[in-house]
Amino acid sequence: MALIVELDVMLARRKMSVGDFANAVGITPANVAVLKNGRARAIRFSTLDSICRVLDCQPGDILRWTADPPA
Amino acid sequence: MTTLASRLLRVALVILLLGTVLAQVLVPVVASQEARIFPEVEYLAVPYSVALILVIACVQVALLVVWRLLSMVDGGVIFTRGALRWVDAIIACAVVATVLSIGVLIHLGFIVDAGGPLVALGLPATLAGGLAFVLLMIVMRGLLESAIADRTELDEVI
Repeated sequence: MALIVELDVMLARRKMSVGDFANAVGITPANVAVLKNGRARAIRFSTLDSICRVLDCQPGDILRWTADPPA
Repeated sequence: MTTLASRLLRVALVILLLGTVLAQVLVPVVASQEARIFPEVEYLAVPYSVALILVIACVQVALLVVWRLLSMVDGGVIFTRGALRWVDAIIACAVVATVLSIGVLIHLGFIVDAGGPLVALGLPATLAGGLAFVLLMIVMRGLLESAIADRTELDEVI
């Protein structure tokens, strides 16, 4: 799958640490790391909802699709 | 999670295990008594006792495996691949016990040419019962396998 989670950019823009973000969303920092480095295979809508609420953004702001899998 | 049912099941397993040990002790005693009453089949006492003790041993192993699986249920790790090996052990025990029982009944009925109604009724009952149990275990193993696959996939959802 060539879906890229661009969490780094949004976290930097909101000046949020991974720990604070994980806490606010209600997932473990380990799972935030999984999302960030592109190893995630599935995400709950409820998690996506929390992420968008915490970062005050749309799903499209953190998810990007590309035709080719990232190297 | 430890439920009342699993605690009661453990009590029942202990009782069954003690019962099977008692049965194993009694097998040679009963066999030697039978041998005195029917001296013409005295030579069967030792091999039949050994076979029956082995069959009971299979039941004991299966009971211990059920205990182990129950611990996995209580620990919340029943839906992991390790559980399949233990179910395989139960299936293996059932196969060995069924084959041994059928072997003894066939030997008694067709080679010794004795046994009468015990063989006539026991052989089909053991065959059907053993086969049904083994097949049921295989079906349930399949269910466990698909539950493990579902759980493994769900664990990856963030």
